Amino acid sequence: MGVLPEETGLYPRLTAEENLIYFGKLRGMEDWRLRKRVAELLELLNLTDKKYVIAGKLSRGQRQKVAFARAILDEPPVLLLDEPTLGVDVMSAREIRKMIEEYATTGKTVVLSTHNMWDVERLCDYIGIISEGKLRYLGKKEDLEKLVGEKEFEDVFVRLVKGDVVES
Amino acid sequence: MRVRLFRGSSGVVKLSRGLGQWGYSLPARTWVVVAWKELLEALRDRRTMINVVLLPMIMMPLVISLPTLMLSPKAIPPKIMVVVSDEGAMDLAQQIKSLESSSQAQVSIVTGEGDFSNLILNGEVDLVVEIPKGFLRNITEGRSGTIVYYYDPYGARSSVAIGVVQGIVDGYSYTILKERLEAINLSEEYIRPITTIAKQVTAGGGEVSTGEVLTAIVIPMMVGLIAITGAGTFAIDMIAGERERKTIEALLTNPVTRGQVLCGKFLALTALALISGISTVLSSIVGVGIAVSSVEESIAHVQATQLIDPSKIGYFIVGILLTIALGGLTGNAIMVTAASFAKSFKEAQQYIGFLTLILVVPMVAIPYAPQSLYPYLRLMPISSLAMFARDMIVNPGELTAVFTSLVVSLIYLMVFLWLSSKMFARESVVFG
Repeated sequence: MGVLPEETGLYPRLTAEENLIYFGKLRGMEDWRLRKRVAELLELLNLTDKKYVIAGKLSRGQRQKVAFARAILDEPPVLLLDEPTLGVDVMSAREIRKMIEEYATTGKTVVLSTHNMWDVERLCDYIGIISEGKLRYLGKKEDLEKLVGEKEFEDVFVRLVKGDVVES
Repeated sequence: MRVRLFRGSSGVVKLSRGLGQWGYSLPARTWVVVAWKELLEALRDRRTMINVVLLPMIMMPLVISLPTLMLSPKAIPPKIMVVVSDEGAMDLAQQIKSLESSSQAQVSIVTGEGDFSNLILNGEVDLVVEIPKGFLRNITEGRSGTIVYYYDPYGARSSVAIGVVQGIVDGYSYTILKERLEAINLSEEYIRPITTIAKQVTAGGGEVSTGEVLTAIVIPMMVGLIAITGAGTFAIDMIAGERERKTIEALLTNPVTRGQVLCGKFLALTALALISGISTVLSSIVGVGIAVSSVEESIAHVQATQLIDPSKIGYFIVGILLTIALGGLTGNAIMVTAASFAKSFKEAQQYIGFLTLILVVPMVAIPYAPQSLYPYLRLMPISSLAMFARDMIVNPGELTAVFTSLVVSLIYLMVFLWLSSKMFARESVVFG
């Protein structure tokens, strides 16, 4: 399983590339495969020119992209993302969303934990809503829209957590 | 032009880039990979490099040699003024003046009388030697001639000045004494019925030089201190720092065990302790060498100034390397255990500051401890290590002592490693 915690958890004195090497090695990736995959991901996330820059000097968005690359480094079957676009600039957030979409299309499972309703609307097809420690809804996104009768997903969420709608 | 050793302000690494690339070809063993990462981080952490390499290299020679240098007349000759009120005693004044030829003092001679205390209070001279009127007459008439020293009781240089002048005065006095004894046909033994001889008693049977004595005192203490302070900052950073920066969460989501991670961290710490230890020992030897060379000519009974007995050099090297490795591991295991209680680097530093004070006490006590306490010091944590280093330097033939301190040190190491692994195993992954 690949994990992207809310805090990126990158080592500030290691470069973007070294952070990826470290975690790739810990996951037992072979030399040639790791080299290829690191180059590929840095290219894909527009970070090639930052490969020798220590993580402590990267912007929040760049750090988030490196952390995302770390999570999908060995192409795990399950990806757990905690607020992947929180505090990230518009361009980086857009790139991360695109990567998540592409990753999901390869048949892998992506579990996304977020407060960003726009991300949910755009990226998710199966939703669980937790409020005050209780699971308020678990099911397909289309079914939820039908159940609540709202188009805007933020309104769907608000009505559900207020208890206006009871899951049948 | 500013030259940046570690990285540019843009954060682009240059010098250590190769070490980073080396990571690709590492064997996929968790402890090796963790050790590589930790050493790479240490190399780029100015704080660690200053503590581990720079400070020992600069501070040790200064700490060890500075007190001796400050008190060595050869290094900094004291300023002496000889006030001759008795014109007939000019030859004694000239003998004191001759100290200048051996660079042991700066001597000025004035004739007449006066109050010279201001010269001492203002720091213009360290000592005023007054040869009062009637000095020569008293001597020629068979009485004692009196010389007066005016000095600053708080000034160490005044004491040094008295020491070098007293050497000349004693020689002058002895010449007069000899003449007087010859005049009445008496031998020197007659007025000096007792003489003393100091003979060294060492387990090896041979005599040891001042350098060897200093090495045996200083090196074990330094080695013990390295164990406590060497890579301590980095040890804290490895545990509390990981938690503070939340890197531990990302790390522990990988297929690694906490034991493997800790093993890698200890491997890196041992490497750092060895670097720190070797630079400390080498710089301490330089310090002892400077100290010994500065006292060589001022203390008459000093023998050859070798720092280590050549026949024991093998024991010295093995003993020191083993002590540094064991000491580094033990000290860092203690640090890691203490750091595991802290949530931040700052909090960990507070715990460790207190702990360091407790551990430093037996280290500092060793050179002053009576021999009867040695068996107990061999049984105490950390001091057992310093005792092992001392035993290997002073008397490697005493196998019981050597093995006791070594085995006890190993047992403590195991206990502290076990404790630190238990504490590290408490780390859990919680996503906020």
